[in-house]
Amino acid sequence: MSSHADAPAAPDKYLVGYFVEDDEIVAATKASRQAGLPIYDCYTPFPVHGLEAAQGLPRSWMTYACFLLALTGFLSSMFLQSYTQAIETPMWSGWPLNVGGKPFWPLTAFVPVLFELAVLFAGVGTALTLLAFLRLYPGQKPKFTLPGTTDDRFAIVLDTGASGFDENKAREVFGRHGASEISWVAPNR
Amino acid sequence: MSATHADSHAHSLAGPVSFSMPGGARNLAIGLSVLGAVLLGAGAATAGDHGAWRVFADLLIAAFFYTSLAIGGGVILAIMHVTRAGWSTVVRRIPEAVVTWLPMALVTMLVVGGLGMHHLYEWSHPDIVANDHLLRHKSVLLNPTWYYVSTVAIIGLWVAFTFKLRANSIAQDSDGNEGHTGSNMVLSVIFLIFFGFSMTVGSLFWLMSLEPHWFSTMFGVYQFAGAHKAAAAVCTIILAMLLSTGQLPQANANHLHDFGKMIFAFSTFWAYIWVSQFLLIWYANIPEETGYYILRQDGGWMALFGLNVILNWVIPFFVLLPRPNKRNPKVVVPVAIVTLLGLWLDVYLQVMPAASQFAAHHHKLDLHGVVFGPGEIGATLLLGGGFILVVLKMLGKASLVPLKDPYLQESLHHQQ
Repeated sequence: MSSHADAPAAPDKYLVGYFVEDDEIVAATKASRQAGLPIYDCYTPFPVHGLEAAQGLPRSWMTYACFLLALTGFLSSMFLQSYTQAIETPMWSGWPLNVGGKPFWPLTAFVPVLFELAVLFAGVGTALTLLAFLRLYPGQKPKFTLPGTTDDRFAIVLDTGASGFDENKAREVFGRHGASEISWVAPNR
Repeated sequence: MSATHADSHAHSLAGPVSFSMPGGARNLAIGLSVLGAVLLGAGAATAGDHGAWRVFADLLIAAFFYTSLAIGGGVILAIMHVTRAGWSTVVRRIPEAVVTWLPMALVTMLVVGGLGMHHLYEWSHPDIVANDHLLRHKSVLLNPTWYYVSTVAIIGLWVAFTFKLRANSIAQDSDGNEGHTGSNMVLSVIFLIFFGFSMTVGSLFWLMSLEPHWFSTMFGVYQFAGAHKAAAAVCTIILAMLLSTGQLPQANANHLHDFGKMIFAFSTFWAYIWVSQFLLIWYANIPEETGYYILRQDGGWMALFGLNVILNWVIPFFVLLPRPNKRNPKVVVPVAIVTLLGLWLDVYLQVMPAASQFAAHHHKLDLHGVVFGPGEIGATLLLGGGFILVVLKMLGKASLVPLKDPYLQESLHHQQ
């Protein structure tokens, strides 16, 4: 496993620590940051609570995307319903209907569709935004091949290309937190 | 199996986490009750001729408001058990304390119903019923006997279920028997099914029959939605108080966040039900149904009708939407208070227009528009002081943390 132990830190190689418990990877990530080790990313089979904080990642902007998408759905729905039911101009017009003597622009009746389109845009849009941002689309190759990280193992990948990378310190920190394996990985090209 | 793993990083719980009501809270509660009694007296003195209806309407608002909070706490507690929630164990004693108002809820509802029935409920007058075709047919159910039987049976069973849940939970503190967790889950399932039906029947008698010609099939769900979010608000306020005074160091912002989410979600659920009830009646436009909303949109009520939606949905939704706000006691507690004011206004808007309309007809009074004065505030403060005393007193009767709950470790390590 440690055949590369003496290899110089090359930018095309990354040092990976594997763990078998989610608690271990959170603790190891915290310790790695404290030791000044450059964390490239963590890979886990499921979302681990507290890992983002341990990595020191900033708050995701995905919630703002979700809100804006919901707003887009809301406004689209308002336009759709207003145009089809209420707007009449010489240039273009919808098809105003008299429904039981109700007003032609009945906001009360719009509520269900406003709600539904806001939810639809927010739900589908956020999922697509996330996939696009992560560049997860058909034909995409994984950056790394890290055995077990979609099954039952947790991995911390260190960016060994950073200046002053201390491999011995990394091995010490990983080992102290119960790493089951420490090995080098080259990114897929 | 997993116990050894959990123990490897266990928080040490040396023993029971004790709580006793701060003297300030006790004095505040007693002061509120005294002030409330004075205001209610002032309201009664200035109510004019035939003013008794006003006092009983005030008391009905207050009694139903606190009944809602208590049974909403019971529903939150039961949902925690049914879903085997891991996050909530460390804060579960809070809803377990909130439900202890239920015996007083039964007393207050019976006092209001017993003494105030003829002042509030049109169907309790045999002479009116005899000359009213619809009420004569409804009198099979809408009569004093069924009112009392239903009130006693419904709130009585709520007391039985929720006190058993509480007793099992506290018994586990000493005997450590995991069987209590299983029996509480089964009990909670039965309770929630019963609650769905009983809240519908109960709110039919207590509130909907104030306008006995009117009906809404989603009335019970509507009351439940309001009760749930307001009870979540009460739990939030109590938890924030315990966190700020350092009396519950095992809990943290993650648990506050979850109660905040509950206020957020059930405010939105309330709005959903509010719109649904309004929309169906507005669309169908049948006179016997629209009368309810016309009464509440005319004569100055419209401003309160709109304010109701703002307090109960607009403010909680937009303020609690960003994540940090749900974790910040300085934001979430004011929103919880707004939510409680919202439930109060909601109950007020269901009772007062109907009660004043009936009084105006019955006593030939000249009553128009919004009826609001010291009496409305007084009745609510009077019972509110009692609510605070009972809940905080009972909160101190057991350890603030369920000591031997199998989900305790999961709850202590809850993160989001």
